[in-house]
Formats: sequence, structure tokens, C-alpha cells
Amino acid sequence: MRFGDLLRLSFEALRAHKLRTFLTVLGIVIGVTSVIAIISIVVGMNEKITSLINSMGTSTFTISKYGIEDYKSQEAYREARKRKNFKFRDALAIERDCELCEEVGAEAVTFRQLKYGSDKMNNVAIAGITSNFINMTEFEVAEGRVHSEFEQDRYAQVALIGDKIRRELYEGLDVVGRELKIGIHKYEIIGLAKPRGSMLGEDLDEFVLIPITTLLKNYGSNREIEIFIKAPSEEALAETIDQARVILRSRRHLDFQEEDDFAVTTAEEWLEFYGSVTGTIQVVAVAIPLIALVVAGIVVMNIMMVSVTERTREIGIRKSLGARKRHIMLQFLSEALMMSVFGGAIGIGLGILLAKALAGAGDLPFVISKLAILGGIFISTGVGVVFGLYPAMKGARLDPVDAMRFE
Amino acid sequence: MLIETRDLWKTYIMGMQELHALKGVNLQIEKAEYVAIMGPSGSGKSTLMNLIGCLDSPTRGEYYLNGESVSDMNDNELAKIRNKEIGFVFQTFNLLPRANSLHNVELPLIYSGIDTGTRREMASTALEQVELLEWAGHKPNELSGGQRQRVAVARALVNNPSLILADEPTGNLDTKTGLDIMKLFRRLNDRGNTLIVVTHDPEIAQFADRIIHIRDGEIEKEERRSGQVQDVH
Ligand SMILES: Nc1ncnc2c1ncn2[C@@H]1O[C@H](COP(=O)(O)OP(=O)(O)OP(=O)(O)O)[C@@H](O)[C@H]1O
Ligand SMILES: [Mg+2]
Repeated sequence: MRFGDLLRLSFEALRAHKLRTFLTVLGIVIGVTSVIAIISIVVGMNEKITSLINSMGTSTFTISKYGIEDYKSQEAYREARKRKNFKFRDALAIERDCELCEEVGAEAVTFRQLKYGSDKMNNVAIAGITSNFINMTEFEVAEGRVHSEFEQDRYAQVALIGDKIRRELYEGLDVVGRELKIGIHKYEIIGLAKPRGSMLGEDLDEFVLIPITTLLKNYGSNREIEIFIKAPSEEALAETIDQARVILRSRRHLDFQEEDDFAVTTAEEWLEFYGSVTGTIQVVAVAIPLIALVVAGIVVMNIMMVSVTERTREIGIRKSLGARKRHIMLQFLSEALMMSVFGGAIGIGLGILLAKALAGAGDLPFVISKLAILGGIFISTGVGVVFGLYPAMKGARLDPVDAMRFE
Repeated sequence: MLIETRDLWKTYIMGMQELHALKGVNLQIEKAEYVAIMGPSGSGKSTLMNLIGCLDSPTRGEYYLNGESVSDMNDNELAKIRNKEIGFVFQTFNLLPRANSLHNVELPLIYSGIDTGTRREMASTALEQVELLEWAGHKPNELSGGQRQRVAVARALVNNPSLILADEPTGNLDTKTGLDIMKLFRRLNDRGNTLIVVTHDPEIAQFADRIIHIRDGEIEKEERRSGQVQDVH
């Protein structure tokens, strides 16, 4: 039997039962759509967060008095709070003494009110950073520049703003060269960051970057800072971390048997942490629509069973004319497959649209991922084969004489 | 010898009961013969036809078709024999209701993997032989009973089988239409086709060269059309 004949045969059979075919396809469309939509959003979220964390660079690590473990319980956090804050001079000491450290940067954060003319924004994150931070992350500037080391050393009143600040305070204006008031201090805007969008309702463009020295001088120097260090390579990461740790331990007067009273965290560890928090949620999120798919599969099986029973005589006639078991089996299997592949294709398209709509409504990132599309194709084909197989086999096994006698 | 059966048995088991539908049938049919099988209802005619047509396997005994032992064949080999060597005509026509005449006639060719062009040609030729070419595009429910049966005959012919089997082909037709079908069979036989026809009707049986009577699963007697009656006992 030729392949073209097989396809035509199945197509004709499906066309002869339009409503039934439609309902079956609908079941698969619903299943695949929901799987694709959820996978698109889950993958999108993973990619966005991974890229945010990785923008730090894989050979970069952070040192802070809080580690990942300290965020896992209130108690741990309260304990960690009692630890001694890092100061900017700790970062400078590492820069001076750590030979392996390629770049050493630092960040301090405060929340202040912004003002431009009569327009205000409250509680905006102001990050004081070292000028080399641009070398250590994949931070992208849309206009202007980040402050220089020269400006940092001189406590310059300069700022680089996130895109949200531009939209809220400077809509329609060129920002570079304009004045910005942070709290009671005046700054000159020297740069604008490239927009990064938003996630889960949080705007990733709502920030101002100023020199760390300026921040400590203007808003209090007794605050906690975080230190960023770039190792020469990923391979040298462990050794670099050890060098930095030794320097900090001696500065914090730790005995050799005392544990670190600070934490070193690599990008990889941040990713792991994220994975451990979201992993279970993702599994559940993907599992629910999978149930829908199983339901769709059972619909396919049911319909195929009806179809086989209803066409018992046809099977008998075909067998009497020389159809082999495998011909009958392929005929029904290809019907099931056609419906599920067709439903799968529609489901992939609708799933992507649904993901887009959900992402828009819920402020979630989403990507049209290969995983989702391959998954959709694989799953719908799988449903067709798995749930079409039993009815097809049942049809193929019918005895021709009995089948022809069937009313 | 086209067909030879030796001590052919078919036993149905129903619960605790054994029902012998055929009890040791010995039968020989030559190529190009036209044979009628007669017998009362339940005597085993259809059972015998199904065995000869490779639709079913005997419980016991041997069956040779064209010198090949059919009793040893598996499902696939039997399907191949049905496809290439045998053409069936049934009392209830057994056409596919959704397919037009041409497609119904094409069916056996689909399973022998013949390409569409050749298939169309062969099916048209077969329809022409039963004088139904102009009805090629019509579905069974647009045809009369006699026309349907002629489509079925065309389908039985289309693969140039060694053997055409007809189980009460006129059972659902009025007398005149039935006779038309028999005339068609006569013509096919004159052209060299081997035919076996099961019938209740002595008038229909008269078209055959040889009439085999069965009763209770056994061959009771055979008669040649020349008139002589052979008692097999
Ligand atoms: N699948 C089956 N299961 C059980 N018994 C069967 C089966 N097929 C046939 N029989 C029995 O075998 C016997 C012969 O049946 P068969 O159909 O061959 O008779 P027949 O001569 O064709 O009768 P009719 O003229 O009514 O068509 C009958 O008693 C019938 O009940
Ligand atoms: Mg019968």
C-alpha cells in the first residue's frame, strides 16, 4: 500500500465525520495550547532570570555579609544582620592585595526621592557603584556614559539613570546634561541605561547609578556594601575566591578555627538558588496542562474505538480484498495521528499567542522556545500514537468473516 | 488442478458444544470450471466458500490452491492470496458506502500497491466489462441492486484473479436482475475465469457446468450439466 493512499484514506475518513474529528482535534488543541503556553512562560522566566544573573558574568562573584543561606529563613537573616558591615575600604584593600582579582568593584544601595523641576518619584533605588562595574557586567548604556574613576575619586555629583526615570521625569527631553535631584543633592545626568523591561510587576529600569564615593558621602558612609570581584577565568574562580577570603578574614580578625562571617556567592550559586525556589512551582505548572493532554488522549482513544466499531464491516470488506493487519492498523493509526498532529500544530500556534497574552497581562517574560515547539510536536504525536495504537490494533485483529457479518 | 481439498473440517466451538460445519470435504476444481454449490440452509456452503476464499482456516485437513498448500499459510500470506488470486462477490454486495464505484473497484489494487494511474485504468476496464463505466462516479446508494452487484463483480475481476467466488450473488436481487448477473458470470466463464457460485436456486445453478450438493457439512452428490448424476457415497 502506498503512503499517499494511506493519507488519502485517513483524510477521507476524518472528513466524513466532521463533528467528531473537530471535537477530537479540539481536545488536543486545548491540551497542547496549555502546555505550550506554560512552557513558553516558564522558559521565558528562566531565561530572563538566568540572563540577569549571568549578566554579572560567570567568572564574577559577590561578597556580602548576607549569603544565599541567610535569605532562606528569618532566623538566619536576623543572625546575619548582626555581622560587621563591609566598608568601601575593604574593597580597596582587596584591590590592593589580591593578585588574582582582575577587577574589584563595590555597590551600596539606598532609596531616595527623585526630583526634576516639580516632578517627583519616591523611593527609587539609588546604587552607588565603582566605575569599573561596567567592565564586570553586561550593563548596557543607551546614551552618554558611566562615571569615570576620576569622577569617583572626586565625589562627582553625576548620575546615570534607568529608562523608567527618563519616562517619568524627562518624557520627550534629552536627558544627558540635565539636572536631577536625589534627596537634597543635585546631580548632572551623564548617561541613560538601555531599557531592560519588567518582570512580575517589578520595573527593571527604575534605578539611578552614581559613584559609590558620592553615595557614601551624601547619604551616610556607615552602610553595608557588597563587593564584586572578577576572576581572570572560570577555572581560576576558586583560587581567586580563596585569596579574597584570606584578605577579608584577616581584616575582620577571624581566628583560623572561626568560620567566615561573610558569604561568597558565585553566579552559578545564584542560579541554583533560583532553581531550587522555582523548580517545584515549574513542575506543577507544567504537570497541570499535561493532565489536560492525557484527557485529550483518552478522547482520541474513545473516538477511535467508536470509529473502529462503527467500521467493523468496512474492516472485514477491506480484509477480504487483501488488506493485511498492518494496513488496517496503519489506516486507523494515521487517522489518530492526523488529528493529533493537526491539533498539535494549532495548539502550538495558539499556545504561543496565549503565552504572549498572559505575559502581557501578568507582566511575565516569555519566549518562543524550541523546547516548547518540539515538546508540542512530540507530545501531540505521542498522544496520537499511544492512544491510537490500541484501537488500531483492535481493528487490525478482527476476523474478516466475523467482521463482514457485523451489523 | 486449481483447487484441491483433502478431508477438510471446520469445527466451531460454542461453549461446551462442538459444531462441525464441515465434515471432511474432498473437492477438486479445474481451471476455467464453473461450479455451483447447493444445499439447505446451515449445510456449510458459506463455511466452505470462506475456506476456499482463504478468509478462514480449516480446523483440520489440507487445501491446495494452484498446488500451494494454503493450510500452512500465515495471516499475511492469506491476505496476499485473497488480494491476488481471489475475487469475492457477496449476497449483500459489501461495497464501501462512502466510496464511488470506481474507488470500490480500485480497492484490491490499493492493497497490491499499484500506482494511481494504472489503478484507474484497470478499474475502468473492469467497470466496462460489467457495462457500468458511466456509473463510475456514483456511490452505491445511487445505484440499483443489480448495478451494485455488478460493481462488486467488477471489483472481483479487477486483479485478474485465478478464482471468482460468489456466495448467493442473486439472493438480494429480483429474478430478472439475478439472471442478468448469471449471464454476466457465464460470459466471464466463457472468457476463461474460474467461478464458484453458492445458490439456493436450481435455476441459477443451471448456469454452471457442475453442481455440488452439500448437506450437513458433507458433499452429498455432484452432477454435471450433461445430466449425469454422480453419487459420491
Ligand atoms: N462463526 C460461527 N460460529 C459458530 N457457528 C457457525 C459460525 N459460522 C457458521 N456457523 C454454523 O455452521 C453451520 C454452517 O453455516 P454456513 O453459514 O456455512 O451455512 P450455509 O450453508 O451458508 O447456510 P445459508 O444457506 O443459510 O447461508 C451453521 O450451523 C452455522 O450456524
Ligand atoms: Mg451462507
